[in-house]
Amino acid sequence: MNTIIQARGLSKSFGATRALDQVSFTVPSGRIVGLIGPNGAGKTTALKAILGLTPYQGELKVLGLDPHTQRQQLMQDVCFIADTAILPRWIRVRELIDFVERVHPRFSRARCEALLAKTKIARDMKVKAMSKGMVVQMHLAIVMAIDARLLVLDEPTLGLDILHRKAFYEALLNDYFDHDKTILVTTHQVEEIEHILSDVMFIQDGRIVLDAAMDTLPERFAEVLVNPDQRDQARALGPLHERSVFGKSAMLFDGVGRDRLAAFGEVRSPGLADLFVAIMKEKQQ
Amino acid sequence: MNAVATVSPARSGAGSPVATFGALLRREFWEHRGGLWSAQVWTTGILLALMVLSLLIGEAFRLKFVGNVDISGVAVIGLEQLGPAEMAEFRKGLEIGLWGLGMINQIVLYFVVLFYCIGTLYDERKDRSILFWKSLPATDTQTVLAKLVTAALVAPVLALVAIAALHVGFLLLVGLYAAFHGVNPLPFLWQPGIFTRVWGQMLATVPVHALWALPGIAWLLLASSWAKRAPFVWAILLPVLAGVFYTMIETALRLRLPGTWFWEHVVARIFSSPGSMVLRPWQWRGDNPFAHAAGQEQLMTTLTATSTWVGVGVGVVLLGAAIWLRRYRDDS
Repeated sequence: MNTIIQARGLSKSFGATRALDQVSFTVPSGRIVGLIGPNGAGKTTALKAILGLTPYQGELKVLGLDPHTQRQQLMQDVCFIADTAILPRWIRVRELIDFVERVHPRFSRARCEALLAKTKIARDMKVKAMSKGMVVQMHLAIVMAIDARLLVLDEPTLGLDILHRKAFYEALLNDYFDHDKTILVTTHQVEEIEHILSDVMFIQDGRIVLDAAMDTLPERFAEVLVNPDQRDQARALGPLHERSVFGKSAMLFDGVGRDRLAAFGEVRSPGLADLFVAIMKEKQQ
Repeated sequence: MNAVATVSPARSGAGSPVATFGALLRREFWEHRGGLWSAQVWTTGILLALMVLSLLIGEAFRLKFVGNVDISGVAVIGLEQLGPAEMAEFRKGLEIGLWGLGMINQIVLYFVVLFYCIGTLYDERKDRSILFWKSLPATDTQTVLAKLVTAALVAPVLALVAIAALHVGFLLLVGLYAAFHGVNPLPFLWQPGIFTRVWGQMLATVPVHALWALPGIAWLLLASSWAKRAPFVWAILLPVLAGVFYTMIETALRLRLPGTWFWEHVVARIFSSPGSMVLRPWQWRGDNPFAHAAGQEQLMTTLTATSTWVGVGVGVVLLGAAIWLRRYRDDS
């Protein structure tokens, strides 16, 4: 399996703030990786470093290239949406398609137009006349028509309503993704991408606090609803996080066997959002 | 969906340096069509409309005060009596007129290019569209060079097309007016030699002026790339303040009247770099000042002047700095 991104001791400071603090991780090809963290955790800084948009300390290789010094070469195989609504406002749809077609050797006009046909975007429309949702759709249509090896999406669906968000992730998974491609995505809507991710990374205060394949999460993490009378016994097992639900305590455990937890009640696998909250709270303390 | 899902092989040439640079030039034109082209077309249109209006007003006055007298006889006699010497005078006058007619378009060109250079690398950062452009495989060098070519070559050539249209329109109007009064305008107005000379001369100044203006344009682009806000202040005010500072220092150090070197070679050069050679007031001399400023003599002087080639060197350095800033600075 090819390594798409390899970071070792990646650091970046803005004055006294450490946006990235000795971060190390590896992303193999054919994965959909979710990079999830609160605002200001360093997500965008990490993505910018990967895209060669900002200098950094430490070692970073993307598709075997140094993104800072070999950016031009890298952009042949990497595509990104760095933030929403950054399409130039003056441009018309057909101009945009013409431009990308001439500049990008891996762009397919037919594919872009097929994607646009599903929207209300007309060829003569200027970006400034589009609604926020349409701008995102336009940008996604372009990006998805580019056959890139790595696609980086920073909050790609911000400003889209739930129907369009669902449709986008469905299209991304069914029409775009294949095993030669890798997608790195950040979002706040954790629940919506949970089922499409193959890997997840939690980032907090510039550090990776969880880096795991999605299918290993149920083995590691389990949540159980504990009655008040058994609360102390359960606490003795060291829950990662505890919250109260209808007078009971929902406790989330990391690396405690399900057979041991079953004594307290029904054991279930926590959702990504619950896991995120638990790990963020735990690390804050 | 499967049919569309298969990505068709890229069109040959897409992404090659030539295709990319062509696309970047078109991109600049699309974005600035209003200034680069429409403003020129409007200028030509308005000037022609004013000529029509003045011909109509003149005609109305003539009818009112002179009456509808047939003047063709008088005019034909008058024009046919022109000897070779008078004809030469007429040609000279026509040529002066053609140069003068283009001046409004030249001034429009000047301001369009000035604002274009100062805004172009600043605006894309301000609206963050730079992140979109940077997500495509066009390099920063190609992008900045496309902006330079747009300012120094594309804009002046488009202005020239509009000026040529203005010339043709003007002669058609005058010709029609004469014909309307029974005078055959062809012997006087059919002067292909004059047209090719004036247009050829104007076109020849474009590349020469571009060489001479390189440091000035590059400075404006650098200021646009550098400024975190108010690029105009950096582009215009900084050189002026530096000039004032230079004058004060020199006065203080030498205790004599300061030289004008800095003003001449830095400040004035920046200010006169947009537009064309016609807009060099210090070269306006003789009967046809604009033609003199853009004359063959001036072309040769410019091409052989050390200051031109030193300027090219300085321009390359400034341009390199603008490219470096676009490539490496992260201020989003």
